[in-house]
Order: sequence, then C-alpha cells, then structure tokens
Amino acid sequence: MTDLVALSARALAAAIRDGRVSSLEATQAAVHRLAACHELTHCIVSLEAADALDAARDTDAAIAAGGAAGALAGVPLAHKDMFDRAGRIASWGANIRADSPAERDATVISALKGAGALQMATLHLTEFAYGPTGHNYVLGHARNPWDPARITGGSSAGTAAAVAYGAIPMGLGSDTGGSLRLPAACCGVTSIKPTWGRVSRAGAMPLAPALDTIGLIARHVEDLAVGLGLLAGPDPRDPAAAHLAVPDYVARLDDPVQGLRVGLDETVTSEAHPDVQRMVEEVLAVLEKVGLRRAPCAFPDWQTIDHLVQLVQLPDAAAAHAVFLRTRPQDYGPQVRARLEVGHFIPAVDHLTALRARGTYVERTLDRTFKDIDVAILPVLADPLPAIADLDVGGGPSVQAAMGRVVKFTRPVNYLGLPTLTLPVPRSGGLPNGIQLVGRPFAEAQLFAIGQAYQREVPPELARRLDA
Amino acid sequence: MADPSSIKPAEAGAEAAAYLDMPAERRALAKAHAAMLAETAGRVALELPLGADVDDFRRVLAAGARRETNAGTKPGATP
Repeated sequence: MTDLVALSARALAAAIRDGRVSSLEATQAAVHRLAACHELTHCIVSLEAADALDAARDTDAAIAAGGAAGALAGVPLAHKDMFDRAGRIASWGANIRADSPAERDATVISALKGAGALQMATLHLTEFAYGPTGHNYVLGHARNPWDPARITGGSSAGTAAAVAYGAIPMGLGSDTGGSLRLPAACCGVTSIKPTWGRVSRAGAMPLAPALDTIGLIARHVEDLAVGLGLLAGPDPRDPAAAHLAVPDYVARLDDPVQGLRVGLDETVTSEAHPDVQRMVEEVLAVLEKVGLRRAPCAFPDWQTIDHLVQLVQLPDAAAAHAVFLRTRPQDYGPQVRARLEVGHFIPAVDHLTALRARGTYVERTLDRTFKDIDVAILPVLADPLPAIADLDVGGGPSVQAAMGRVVKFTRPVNYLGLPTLTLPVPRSGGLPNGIQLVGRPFAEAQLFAIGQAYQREVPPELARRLDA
Repeated sequence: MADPSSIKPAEAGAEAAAYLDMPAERRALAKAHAAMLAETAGRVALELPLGADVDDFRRVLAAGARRETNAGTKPGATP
C-alpha cells in the first residue's frame, strides 16, 4: 500500500487488523512522513521513532497471535506536548517544565493506549498553550504545511500541521480560547472541541482550568468520532468530567441531517473580513446541498461574551503561573509573559462576576440563539490565513489587539462551553481556512453526522503530495 | 517548586501586582485592558440575580444535555 498516510485512522486500523498492512510498515511510513513534515513546518518537539517501531513490532506479534483488538491497534499517532506520560517530562512548549517525570499517563493518553494506538512523537505547541497563532518564542515558530510563510494557528500547532501534511491521521490538542479550532482552520483539517467537561483533563497541562478542553484534530470526521468515543466519559481524577452517558459516535455518523437547521448570526459574522464571509457562504451552500436548512439566529452580545471570557481566562491563567512569574519571569517568552501579567490586574470581584454570569449566558444562548436552530455556523479566523511575519508582535503593545482579532470568533465559545466542530472551507486551489459549527451541550454526535455529510461533498485533502 | 523565601510579600499600600517586574508602559497597558473589561463586568453585575452562582454553568450544560438526548438528531427537533 503506497497511500498509508492518506488513510483515516479508522481505515488504517482496519487494514492492520485485517493483515493488509503491518503496524511496522505503517509506523515506518509515518515516521518518514513526520520527519519530512518537520523539515517544512517545525512540528516536532520530540521524535520517539525507536520506541514507536518497537511498539509496532509488538502489536504485529499480538495481532498474529490474535491478541490485539483495540479500535486503534497499531496506528501511529503523535500529540501536542502537554500531556503527562509515565516516566517522562512534557515540554509544555516552554523553558519551564515539571521538576520530575510524570508518575502516570494523562487520562486521554491512557485511553488511546488502551485502544492500541502508538505514539511516535510529541508535537509543537505555543508556549504553555497560550497563543492562537503558532508563534513560539522559546521553541521557534511553527510553519503552515500549505505555505510555510503562513501561520499554523495555535496553540495545537504541531498536531494540525502533521495531520494536514499526512504524517498522522489524528492527534490530541487542547482548546482554551481556540487552540484546536484555529490550527485546524489554518491547516485545512477538522477538529472537535467537545463540550466543557466531556473529556477528562487529568494529566493535561492546565492553562485556565475553567475553560480548558481536551479534543482532537483529524483529517476525517470519522476519526474524531472514533477518538472522542475513546476519550469521553467520567474520570475520578477530574471532578469536572461529566457523568453523562457517552453516545456511540461512530454508529451515529450516518444519522440523517436532512432538515436540520443551521443558524447564521449575520451581525457577528459581519465583523469578519469579506473574503471570510464569502467562505462561510460557500460552506452554507454545501450544507444546504446535503439537506440542512439555513436560518437566522442571534447570539447574546458577542463583545460582552468576549470580555467575560477574558475576565475568566486572564486571572485563571495568571494564577496557574503566579509562582513562576514571581520566581522565573526571565524564562518566559515575551508574548506569554506579557499576556500572563494582565491577569494580575483583574479584580477578584470582576473575575467572579464573569463566573457567576456564565450559567445565565449559556441559558440565554440555548433559549434564544438555539431556539429555532440545531447548530450555529461561525467563522474561525476573522481574516484570510495570515503570514507569520504579520503577527510576529512578541510582547509588544499591540499584542492584546492582535491576538484578540485572531480569537474573535473562537474565545467566546469557550465561555459558553458548547461543543464545536471545525470544518475546512472548500479550498478551490487557494489557502486553507475553516468554519466552526457550534452545537447544543453534549451534542457532538449531531455535529459529527453533519461533518460526515459535509466531507462526502468536500473530501479531506493533504497539504503536500505523497511524493513530496 | 520555587523556594517560598524567594517570593517577596506585598507591602501594605503597594501597587497591584507590584511583585511583577514589568516596565511602566506594559503595566499601564495591562491596567487599561483590565479597566476596559471592568466596565463590562460592572454592567453585567447589574443584571445578575443575587442567587447567580458559579456552579450554574455546569448545571445549565447538564440540563442542555438532557434536552439533546431527548431531541437526538431528529430533523427540526425543538427542545
């Protein structure tokens, strides 16, 4: 098989299980492809090829003996470098790291291991996952596999770049203000930011725990369904992990979508660049083609929500970093340091007001915005794919405004905690971009069904040819 | 972890976050940003009921999940 790296994780797992390809062959191809991706995009933090190849041989032996039955048995993956793994220290994309190796795996790492997936590398992220563009003044900036002069989006930059390039079919990321959706959109792939609380955060580096959400980036929506089915559910290690039943996301991929209503808030969307507004219309046309009905909707005042989410995030992140900001400020890159400092100036009363208002705003969104729709469509980026140089603002005076523009359509959704599926826009030879579909709480299965129907019309693409 | 003795306590009457080694311009920008957000917080606080609680968020999400379970992906379903 010459197109291993173009397969979905689900299809590759089936091929390995059926003996059409070995895990060793798949992992060798993936390591080769990931190394090439790194040359172009700077996506790798740590390559663990020898360990992965050993694990692949073990998997092949187990399959031959009839003993490897996990949903992702033998599939090589790689993840954002912010998850605990027993005996290792994650980089967090930073100079400041944990003092000692993790004693156990993060819950999401355990879940993927339990399904038989291999891990061949850890991947680039913005320093401390605190940045929406892929700039990292400690590791070096990530570059977009479609055009290396452009941003990858962040903070899950390496995962998106590697997925888009065809080095991995999917990987883990996190989202506090857009960190799954922005890189997915910039790199022309899909992502799921689940409902807040759907996936355990245990063992994941905290940024702003009231907002932090662990999720996945993939080329194929079906892989998001497979992956979320493995990750979702209660966890004694994370009291915020919801005890709600986890649907069979894969079984519901082909749920009918005809007649579902997709809402467009024209007031909010009008704040995007005209080209981005046109992209939203192109996606809406595809969604209408597969049977959805377009309808108007209105979110609560978007700027108010954007301010409220900052009132939550800034002090939450500042508190998590308080000790290092006092004792090791020189070890931060300029941008993250400048952003973390701001949180120290938010009064506790304002922080708590934003937290107390959160339920009211979610209720208002569900009762009014979603009253006559099933999902809402929003841009992800406010602008066409930016150049790395254009957003290389470091910790300078324009950082809040520049970053605020990048997360304009993503950060408020974290305040609402709602699930969000990112889909790439029809590219037509141009640079990638994406939209987000926002669902009701815990309605990820519905989002996947819509995404699956969309990808029948707009199939996944690789950023680089397989012979590249 | 950091040595606690290396962390300076705030002095009475000291400026907010005086322990941060920030140039004056960045400190001023941070204060201005916080002040802008404070205006929104003040406005939102006026409309909140006294009983509004930080746990409302999780309760509302869970209630929304129950509505989703009932509605499923049935076309045009309204909770």
